[in-house]
Amino acid sequence: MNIALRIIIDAFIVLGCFFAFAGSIGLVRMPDTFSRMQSSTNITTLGILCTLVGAFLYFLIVKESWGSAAKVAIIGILTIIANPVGGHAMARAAYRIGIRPERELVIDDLADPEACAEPGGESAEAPAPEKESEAEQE
Amino acid sequence: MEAKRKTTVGAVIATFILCYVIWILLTGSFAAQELIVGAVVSILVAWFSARFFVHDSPYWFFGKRFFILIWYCVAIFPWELIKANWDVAKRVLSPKLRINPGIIRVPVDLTAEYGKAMLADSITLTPGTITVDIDEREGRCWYYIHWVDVQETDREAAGEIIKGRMEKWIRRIWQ
Amino acid sequence: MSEMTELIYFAIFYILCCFIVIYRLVKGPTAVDRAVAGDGVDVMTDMALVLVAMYSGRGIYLDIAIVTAILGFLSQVLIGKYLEGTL
Repeated sequence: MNIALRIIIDAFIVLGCFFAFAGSIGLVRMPDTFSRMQSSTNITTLGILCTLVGAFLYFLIVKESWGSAAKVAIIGILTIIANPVGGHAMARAAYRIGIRPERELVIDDLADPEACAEPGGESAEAPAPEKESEAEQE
Repeated sequence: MEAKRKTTVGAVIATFILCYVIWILLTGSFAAQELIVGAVVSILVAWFSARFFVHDSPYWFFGKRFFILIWYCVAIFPWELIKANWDVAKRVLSPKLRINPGIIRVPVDLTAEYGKAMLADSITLTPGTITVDIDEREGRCWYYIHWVDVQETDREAAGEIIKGRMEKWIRRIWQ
Repeated sequence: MSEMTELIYFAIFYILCCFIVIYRLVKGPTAVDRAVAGDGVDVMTDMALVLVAMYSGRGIYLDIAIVTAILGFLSQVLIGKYLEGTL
């Protein structure tokens, strides 16, 4: 095998490992739910994209099997398209069920009672950010 | 809002082609039986799901916009992604954990349905910003964005910082 | 068997990152925290499967990775909808 190609593939995978590690540390260290969500996007974007680019090059050039390379590409495209939808659903659910950070947000436009007038009129719940007590509910 | 959507032939054909390409990529073989089964399954899936999948004219996508979309996917968006990823990774791994979170409402001047969805997805995919909700108010479209480091509380200026070059390119694709 | 034997160590590294995230999965104060951590574990298991597929040279692991990716997305959207109460 070509040594330069091997170094390139390893570099991509190491970069992916670094971002996945940063995301994992962020998931543990971040103080509130929304910030943890931000950190988890770190894993699901560059962490997996770099690894998948390395895998794609490996299957395409070293193994010369385009079927496996296509499967790797499908995993990448699927994750890139699907993950923001899931993250969006999660973030909205977190806000709607009343999870607020312990620290005061710098600016909170969603606390505005006119925000997001839903047909059911359920947008104005939890007008004031509660501290800690409401975030403990499961 | 939830209008009755009809199944048009063009939408079915477009969905069928997408399903068939994915089928061929997943099976990875060109045997006759695989191709026939794939065609039958793709037609069934396309018939039932085309009205949820294609809302506009299914063919207007071909032409110059396709190349702009490719350019956006390989150059503009990855650069924003790398910058934001590096920023958040640096914040997380630094010992002091400098974060400054807030939820801000920024205006968006896109009219196309797909364009709005694509910009919201792009914003959610860049670490540091998550689109929490979308609202129509005063004739404009507003995104409620959770931002991990609020540098600017003015809405227009914050929108410029968050959206960056992405909105301009997306408007060029879906106009 | 591939000649790039270092790939298995990267897979092990991903699994170790999974154990870091499992701390949040066990402790996390709210259900949303747990769901987000579960998604992180899911994605990193995917990557470990891809690396094992490269290492061992068997394509069957890639199919499992695709199925895991789809299921992770579905579960996240379903949990979000359920918590919001609009399922």
